[in-house]
Amino acid sequence: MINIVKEQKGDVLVVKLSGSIEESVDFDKLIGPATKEIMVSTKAVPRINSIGVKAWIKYFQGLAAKKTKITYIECSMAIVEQINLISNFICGGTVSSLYVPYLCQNCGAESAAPYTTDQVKKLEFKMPDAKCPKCGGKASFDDIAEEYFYFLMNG
Amino acid sequence: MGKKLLLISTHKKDHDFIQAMSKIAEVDPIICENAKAGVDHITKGVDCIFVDVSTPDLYLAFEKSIQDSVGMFSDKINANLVHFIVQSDELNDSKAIISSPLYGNLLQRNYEPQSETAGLYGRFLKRELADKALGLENMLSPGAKIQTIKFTRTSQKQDAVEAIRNYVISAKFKARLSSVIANAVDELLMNAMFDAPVDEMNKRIYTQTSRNTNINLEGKALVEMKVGFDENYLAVTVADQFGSLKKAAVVTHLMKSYIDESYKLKLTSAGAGLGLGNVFRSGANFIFSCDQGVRTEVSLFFKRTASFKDFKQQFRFLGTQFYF
Repeated sequence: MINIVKEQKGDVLVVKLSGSIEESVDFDKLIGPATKEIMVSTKAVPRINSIGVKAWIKYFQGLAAKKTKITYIECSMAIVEQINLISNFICGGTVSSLYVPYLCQNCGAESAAPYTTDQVKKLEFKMPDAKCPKCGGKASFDDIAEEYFYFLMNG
Repeated sequence: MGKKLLLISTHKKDHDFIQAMSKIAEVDPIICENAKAGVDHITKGVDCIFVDVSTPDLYLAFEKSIQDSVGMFSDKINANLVHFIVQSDELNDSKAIISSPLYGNLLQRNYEPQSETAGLYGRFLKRELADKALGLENMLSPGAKIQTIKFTRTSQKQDAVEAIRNYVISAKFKARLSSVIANAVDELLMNAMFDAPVDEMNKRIYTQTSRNTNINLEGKALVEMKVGFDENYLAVTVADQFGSLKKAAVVTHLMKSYIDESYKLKLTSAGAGLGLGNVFRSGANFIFSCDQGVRTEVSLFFKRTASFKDFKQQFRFLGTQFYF
């Protein structure tokens, strides 16, 4: 079940989605009609099923057709996976930032670190180790760079 | 005399895996290093075939040997019992191979840890050779607990998906993997509830029905899910009583790439195969078993790994078992 927090900042509608995106989602009702510019945060979206994907593409394609500028921020791992799998998932928008998965080598805790796409490119997709937020140990990037950053490497 | 397994491969890794797996499956392995030698055994009769097709030339040599001997559609070749071996990173890109009429099963050549992978695949083969490859009971290590959940309304799906997610977290699967598993179960249940039901003319009943609709699933429409865990693998089977799954549809859905070709919205309510394709690309192991007109079972196997990266690099397979 998806929840939403909306905030209008000048011409930009900032939308923060949280929860799973599945068949009950109605983006028209949740987000509303097209605006000049929209920023969509999916930081708290752990998964999206195929019906959710379909609803997503239908809604954001509609916005794109009405010339809304779409920027995706704080993309969760579930959303990054869809961006990598479906070429038109971002519907003409821009991915500005994303969460990168980490795993602590000491305690095994999972965490996610925010990066801008520019930072990731500047690092040439070689993600540095980070500090585990749970135990302070060394946390390493926990995915395959060629797969997780596929859309940035090939976009 | 035991059942005979034929392996056609020059790879030592394949030889070792087959030797270990044959003990679990209780079959006698015969190892040949080329297709021509292998076909001699096929002509005499073997119970299952494993063949290295990790290069186009190896596949073509196998296909030509079959064509030149028993023929592609011979009763000596049952695709359910043919297992193609590909390189360790090729499962997602095996479209040409699984479109072959000889295709039944595909496995990746990354067998570590061999004791676990040979065990899982050996149990699958044993079940396949014994009878119709249906039921989850013998697929996991002995002693694994299996729970059965029956769905009588589509509205029960979401609670079940969340319950599975919580269960796998309690079984110490990583949180990210638990989301992948929850999504996979969601897609399988949706397929069994909305895509499997067909009318007397074999026409899909709910093509235009919103997946948010609460439908009664009693009687023939009953959907059953089994969940088991043996400390290494989590297994989930979702079954329907229609047996309407088509092998060609499975191949199309799993291998369709939406990176090369944009996802086109259709007026139907379904995800147009997107769900299965996404589950497959997420790293799941699949077995599709369909007794046509009677029952379809789709089973998923997820290894509990220390990291998500390990999960992506694990041994993988894709089995299809169709009975007519």
